[in-house]
Amino acid sequence: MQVTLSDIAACFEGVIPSAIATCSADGVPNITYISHVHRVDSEHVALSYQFFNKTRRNLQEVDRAEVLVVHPNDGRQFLLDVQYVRTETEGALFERMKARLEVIASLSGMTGRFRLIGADVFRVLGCRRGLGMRGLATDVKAPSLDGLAQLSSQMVSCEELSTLLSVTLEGLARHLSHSHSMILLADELGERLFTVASHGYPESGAGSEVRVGEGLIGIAAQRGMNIRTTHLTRDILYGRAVRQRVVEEGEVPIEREISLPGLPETRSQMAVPIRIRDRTHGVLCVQSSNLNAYTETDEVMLRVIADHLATAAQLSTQLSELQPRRDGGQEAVAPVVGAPVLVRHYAHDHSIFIGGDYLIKGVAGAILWKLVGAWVTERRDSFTNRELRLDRSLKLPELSDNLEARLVLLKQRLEDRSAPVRIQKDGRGRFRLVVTRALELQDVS
Amino acid sequence: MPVLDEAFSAFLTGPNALLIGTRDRSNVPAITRPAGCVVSADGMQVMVYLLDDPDDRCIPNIRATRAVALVVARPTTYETYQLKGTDAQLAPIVEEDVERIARYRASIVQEMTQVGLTLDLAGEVVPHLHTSMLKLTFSPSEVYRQTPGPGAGERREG
Repeated sequence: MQVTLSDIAACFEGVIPSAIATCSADGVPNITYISHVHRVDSEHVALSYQFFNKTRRNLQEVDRAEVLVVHPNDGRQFLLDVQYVRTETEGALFERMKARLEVIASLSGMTGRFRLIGADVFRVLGCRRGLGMRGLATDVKAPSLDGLAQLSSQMVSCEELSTLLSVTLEGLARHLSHSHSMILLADELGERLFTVASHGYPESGAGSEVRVGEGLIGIAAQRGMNIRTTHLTRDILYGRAVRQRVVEEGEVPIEREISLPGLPETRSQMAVPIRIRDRTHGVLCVQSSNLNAYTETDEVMLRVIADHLATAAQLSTQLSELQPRRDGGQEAVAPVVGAPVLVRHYAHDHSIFIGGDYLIKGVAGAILWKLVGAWVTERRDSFTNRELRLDRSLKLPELSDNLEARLVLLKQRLEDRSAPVRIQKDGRGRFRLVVTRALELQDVS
Repeated sequence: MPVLDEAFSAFLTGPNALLIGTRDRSNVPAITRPAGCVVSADGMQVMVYLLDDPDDRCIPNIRATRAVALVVARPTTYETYQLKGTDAQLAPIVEEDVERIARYRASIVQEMTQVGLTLDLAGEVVPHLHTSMLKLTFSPSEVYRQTPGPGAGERREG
């Protein structure tokens, strides 16, 4: 029976390894495992071309091959009769395949070791069921559009970024069954991402850092591209096998393995960049300890949520700065106790050290320096987002740049480091500085 | 003709994912998934088990060309080898083979669960024990390393 490629879309997730058989001109068959078969369209698939191996040499002699793919839900196997058509070395397909390889390399501490030379494209001449496999009965639940709509409505009703972040993650769990999720925001230098909100983990996970370009989340941010993997165990094991061979061959590549933030037994993960006008502000990430937890549809839905989050965040920022509002009465000022703690500010990059420990740098560092300065000299503890925006000494970019995101990040970093200075929201577009120890300021130019 | 040493034979007969590649008279290749790998006591021959299905292209290919490639891969480590032969033969299985296939199935299913597959799914990926199976025997004339990374594709001597 002929089967179409869209009937078996899940087979191209790469959860269970695929294989390709080729043959040389003198009639010697060759077979090799392949980590991923990419479905290009209804008639074509693509394989990664990383080095000139026997498969490739054979395809130059005999352009026919057979590819085995396995359905990750029920174990059914399918055989694709294919014919080599062309090799692409640029474009969307190439970039998508390159990003996948980068993720695997990065997970095993071998960034840059896996080079994609090209995307080999094959025409599918036929697709049939493999033999002897019965296939399990499965019930795969499709994500709900109603859930997406409900979450979307809740998101647009948020007035503050911090509320928006928590509503988004709680809604992902309630409406779309993503019970483990996190939002990371980029620092203003675009070098690192910091977890500012998370949901479903035993510990908050907040404050964990990911370097842009490293791991699945870092690569999603760097390339501005959704990254979805549904078989992390296999990706990591594959990377480890290469790493082991590299070490055995006496080469010294090697960085540390990057531990994934979040679930210790993550098997599926999606990372979707939060972008406005081609600029990545952060990454929305969901994780599952189940193999093959996410489909293409789940990825599209998360893409919609991330786009919506980007716009809603921008709106909440504008509301905060243009129409600030105080909530409730003024709380009592916390007592200041203990010996003074040294807060050191390095003017060249606005890095801040509290009691000798690095806290933050860049715009968030400049903001904190201004706040603690006002507290020490004027005993002022109440501030608005708007006055920070208008303060020329902070050199903040235009309104579209997310000042509130910087404040969320700063607030989170202060909490993570148990700093004697905290930021506490006390209304829309307003916050208080809560200082629990005397501060001694030192400006290093 | 390489003789398979004891340590390598032990690896080949372990809990490995197996694949067979064949070709027809026009050099069009075909894949099938065998069950169980056995190495002869003298290290000269390898045997695997195939489902005897009239729709399987590999069985007529083997009868027509006798050319075969067998890939043996350990799921948890990715240690992988490819063995090639030009003298493949098919024969009916006997009772001893049935026991071997059952033991192989149990061990590979267990191995696959260690890379995240459920028992049920792993059990589906490996061929089920079937009364109509054939034993494929060949003498490996070439053995190649296929573990990912440096050295993949190089010939393994001995």
